[in-house]
Amino acid sequence: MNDPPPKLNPDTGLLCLSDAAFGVVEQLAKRGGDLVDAPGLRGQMARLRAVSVLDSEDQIHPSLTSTLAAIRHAETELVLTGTERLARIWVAAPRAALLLPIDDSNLRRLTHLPLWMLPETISRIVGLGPRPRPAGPAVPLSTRGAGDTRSHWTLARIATRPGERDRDASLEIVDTAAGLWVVKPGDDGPMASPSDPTAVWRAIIRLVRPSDTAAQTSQVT
Amino acid sequence: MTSGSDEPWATYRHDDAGFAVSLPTGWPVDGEVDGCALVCVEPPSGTPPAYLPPSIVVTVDELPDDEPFDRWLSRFRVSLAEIYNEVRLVDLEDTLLGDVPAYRTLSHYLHAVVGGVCADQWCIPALGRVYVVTCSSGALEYDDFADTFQDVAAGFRLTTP
Repeated sequence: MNDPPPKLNPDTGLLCLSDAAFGVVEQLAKRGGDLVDAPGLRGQMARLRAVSVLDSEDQIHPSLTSTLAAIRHAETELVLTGTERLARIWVAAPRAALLLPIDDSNLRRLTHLPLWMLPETISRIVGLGPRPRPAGPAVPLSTRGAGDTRSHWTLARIATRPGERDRDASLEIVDTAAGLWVVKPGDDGPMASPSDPTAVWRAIIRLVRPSDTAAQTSQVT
Repeated sequence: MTSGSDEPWATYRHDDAGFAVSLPTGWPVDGEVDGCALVCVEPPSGTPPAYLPPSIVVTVDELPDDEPFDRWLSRFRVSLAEIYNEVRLVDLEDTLLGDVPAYRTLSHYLHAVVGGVCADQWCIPALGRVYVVTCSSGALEYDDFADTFQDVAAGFRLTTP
């Protein structure tokens, strides 16, 4: 096994771990003790025990209870991607769990936070802030050019329960020196429409809010 | 000062401060709060909400003779970091309310009790003063009220003393 060992801060519940170790933690969250055997599972379990993520009876450390509860009971799961995956997010109001990469490391950081903190957290990750306001009609994304692109990211909501495919929605943004553009499918390929930080901020809120109050689709202009 | 209530939007006039603003009907207005020309908060309905009730506040600053508005605005925006806890600037916009220039700031900050709050603010320089319309809501509720806040700002107008 060549991935680094997990590290748990027992005071905050912040857990740094590899993708392989997270796979075990995710199984523990979603399946309880009924784990699906997989290559490396026993080794990962031993590593999690070694740093007290699991006790001798494979009970999860109390500091991780909120995080795992958010994963287990998530009614909305989101994936934030840029040039690489930026975050996985599970929403189970009033909490959310967040899995983030750690710079210059193949470890990820798993934590929980109040749901009200999630729009700001996502905005911080993608660097949302004041921008010029581009004008004009939608243009094919392929013709917009990439020279002034600062980032290109997508926040996608994933159905978490059977029959909820209609709740899928995503927000795709091209962030440029000239401002923000929202990307939507067009008849002849993706189209980029001028947008602004307020519209993007509102769309993020709609995506992260629980289903009983969230809009069915994310509309941003 | 008068506040109508028969229309979908009630007009509130503050003749001493020289402005009028349209407010959602049924949101009580308090014109006696220290330091504020107007405070208007959505009334509770049933059980207490688990979030910050949306509110509209208007303050009026005298613009010092020796301070250009641009400098005042820079100072105002810098001061947000001192007034608000863990503030994050989301948007800045130079706009028009009718034919009156206004400078909008959307920010998010951390409230000690209710958590994340969004503050949508319009600074309107006129008559040697700066009128500041601040509309706030819980962060997750902002999308519900953003259009209302925009309408409140759009309904702001200067009145003849």
